[in-house]
Amino acid sequence: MRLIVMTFITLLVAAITGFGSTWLALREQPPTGAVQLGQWRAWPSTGGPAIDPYARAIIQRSGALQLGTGEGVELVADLDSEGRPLSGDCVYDMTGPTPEARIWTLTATATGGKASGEPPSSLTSEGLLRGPGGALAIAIAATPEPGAWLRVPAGEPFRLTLRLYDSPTGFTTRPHVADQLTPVIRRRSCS
Amino acid sequence: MKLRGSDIVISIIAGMLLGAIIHLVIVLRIPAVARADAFTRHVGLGANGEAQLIPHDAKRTAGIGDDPAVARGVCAWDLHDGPVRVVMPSSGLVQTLSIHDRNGRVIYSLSDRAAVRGAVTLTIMTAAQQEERRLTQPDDAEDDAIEVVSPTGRGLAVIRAVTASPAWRERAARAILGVTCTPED
Repeated sequence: MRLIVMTFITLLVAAITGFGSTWLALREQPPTGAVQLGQWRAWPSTGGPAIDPYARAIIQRSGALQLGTGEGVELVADLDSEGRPLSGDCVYDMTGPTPEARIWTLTATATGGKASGEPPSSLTSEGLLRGPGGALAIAIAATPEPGAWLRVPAGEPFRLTLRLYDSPTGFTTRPHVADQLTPVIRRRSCS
Repeated sequence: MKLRGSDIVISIIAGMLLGAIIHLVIVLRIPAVARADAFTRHVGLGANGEAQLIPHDAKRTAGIGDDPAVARGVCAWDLHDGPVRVVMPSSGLVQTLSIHDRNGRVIYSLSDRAAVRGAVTLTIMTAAQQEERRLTQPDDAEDDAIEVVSPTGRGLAVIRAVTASPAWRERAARAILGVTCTPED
């Protein structure tokens, strides 16, 4: 009797911790291998042959085709400059150093990798409206803003993805990725 | 016959160890058993030696490597009949090329900045095929192609063309359709 109960407890705990932790680890972003660049995060190993096992499992499960290291860099931000989750109820200003790249794109999507109901909105560095003195100034909001504006779904949390194509920030050419300067996302106001 | 506290603690610890093993096994086995992976999805593209576009799926345009401002194309390759040569002509757009093996690893990637005489050319081969080339080809053979050695016999060549505005879509599509991946003779 004692052995049966112990076996039962063991198997129950194994199932809960094993499947639960796997589900948590593969639910969204790889839990390991992330590099923090200001407010942005990147997974440098993803674009090469030495890809992190979690990242590979996530990619293989979703059918994604990741960006190769020689193609560019993908940076993701979920939080504003004060660490609050990005929300479609608020207006944000993205300013700061322009990323080094031949061309870059900024995309707003729903969190969790899902697309929101509307087609995803994105901006590219080409033909982008600039602030005074050519500075980077993008308004991120659900309703139109003057200047460069990135539309986000109203009332929903969202994620920003900054993709730098053919960038000297490439993790192969610049090992000191942490030195890279990245734009800052500041909350202006909320409704 | 009563269950002691120590029995429960031992059971929980054993359960957690077993749980850790389950975790590792699942994470490491997924790439081998995944049925919706990119290779399985796109293996039919580019069978005639020319890259084909991946249609933009509004529902999926959110994940890793899927940029709504980028047109993507795929050429599936198979090294069974010898090395495969991928040629990506420059188009004036920012274009990139990545070689993915069967198991979801990027084994080589570069941009059109690496183009020689107006095109990026690379030859995908297995380690054995590379060895054979070493023996049969003279060292001074003139070839602009970059040699990419693949651990798997099949995989995908993925081409990306960045469209700065929707008006460039057509141009990006043409740039991708101009990429060839043919068996080398």
